[in-house]
Amino acid sequence: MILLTLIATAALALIAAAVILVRKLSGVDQSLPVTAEWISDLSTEQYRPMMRLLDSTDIQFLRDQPGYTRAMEAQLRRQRVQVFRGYLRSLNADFRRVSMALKILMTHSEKDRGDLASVLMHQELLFLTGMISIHCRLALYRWGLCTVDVTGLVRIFDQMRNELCSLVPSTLPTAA
Amino acid sequence: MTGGALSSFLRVLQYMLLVGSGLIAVKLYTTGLHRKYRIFFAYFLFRVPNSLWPLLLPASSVAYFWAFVYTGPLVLIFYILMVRELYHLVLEDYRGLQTAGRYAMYLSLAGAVAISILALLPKFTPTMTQSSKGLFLVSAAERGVDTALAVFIILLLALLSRYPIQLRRNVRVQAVIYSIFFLSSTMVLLARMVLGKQSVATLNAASSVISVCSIFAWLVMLSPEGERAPQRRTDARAKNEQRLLLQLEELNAALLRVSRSKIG
Repeated sequence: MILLTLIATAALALIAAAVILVRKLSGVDQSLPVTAEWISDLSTEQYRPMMRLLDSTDIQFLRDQPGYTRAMEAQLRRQRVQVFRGYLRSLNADFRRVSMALKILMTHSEKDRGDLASVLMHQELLFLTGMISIHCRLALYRWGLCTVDVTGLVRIFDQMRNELCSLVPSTLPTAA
Repeated sequence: MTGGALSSFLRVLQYMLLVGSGLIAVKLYTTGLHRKYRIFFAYFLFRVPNSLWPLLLPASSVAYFWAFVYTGPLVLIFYILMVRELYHLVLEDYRGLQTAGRYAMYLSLAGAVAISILALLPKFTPTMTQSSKGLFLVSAAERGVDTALAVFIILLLALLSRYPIQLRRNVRVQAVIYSIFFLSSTMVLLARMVLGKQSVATLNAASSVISVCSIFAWLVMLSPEGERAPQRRTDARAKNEQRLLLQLEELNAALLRVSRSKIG
């Protein structure tokens, strides 16, 4: 009987999921998250400070200072992680917007865009696994157990950005 | 509910299934929707005689048994074809998503098969008679197919919901009713297996209630208006979106011209 209750609960959850998904696909609250100006302004420059935010040289510098305590190092690590997470959220949001722009392109195409579908799927998977890995390493960094290298993740974002920019020629008007 | 009352209730439900199936077939034909939902229409044409024989044959007769065993697989084939038709209808308006849709289909299919195999874990017992084995086989196949189709629809919707697409109302109605119908059928079949013979009549009634509700939901909710593409908003933000879309459409046209000239 317990098994039956569990299965019934799972079935109800699946039905609820179907209703929610169909509601999402009804387009009630859908909006396109990008503008032509945003695409042309897109750059990885803003993520340059993020790449050296968790550099070990800063920690080493702090350790060399007179009056250094472990509590100071812990506080620095905590603050850096906080700022780094802010950058990660921004990177994630930008990546999602670029993905969405490519999806809009596919959606409105009169021809099958299998090329974009492959690129998108591959890059989204890489970005997701990269993001999970960074978050795990970030948790360990706070305890001084490892370093965090975000260049791979920014590179994936840059590849997606290049893909989008190569598809939107600069000769097209960007404002109405 | 007593045995007699339950039996009468079941008979009323069977009449409702027969009438409902006939009404859907008529509605699909008169509204012209049968041209778009061909398999769905064919299923209800098949369903009318398939709802008639349980009313004419005694449930304990050999003819009833063989009719059940032979029509069972046909119903399952219809279910599979109906979901395949739904998959094509979902992507009908989006030619650019054919490959993405195929990827979504492969992933959904893999997930659906894996989950339905779990639902099929109970196996034959050596003490089963030949007719019991036949019934078990039909029931197990139905459970596996129902679970797989429901999971397939939900996974497909989940993967496609990541794209900015809008489905027509009729397609949305189909997706929800199919999911509820297949999952409920799976639940009833599992309950029949867990609770045993004493609850068969009650569960048959439950199964018929689900079918009747699904049929009347289809009857009420499917309409020619449901085939209209959803309208877009006209506020300031929508104007920006419109501008970007024009750009993207222009770009797609340019890419298409280039690819054609290369082929030429």
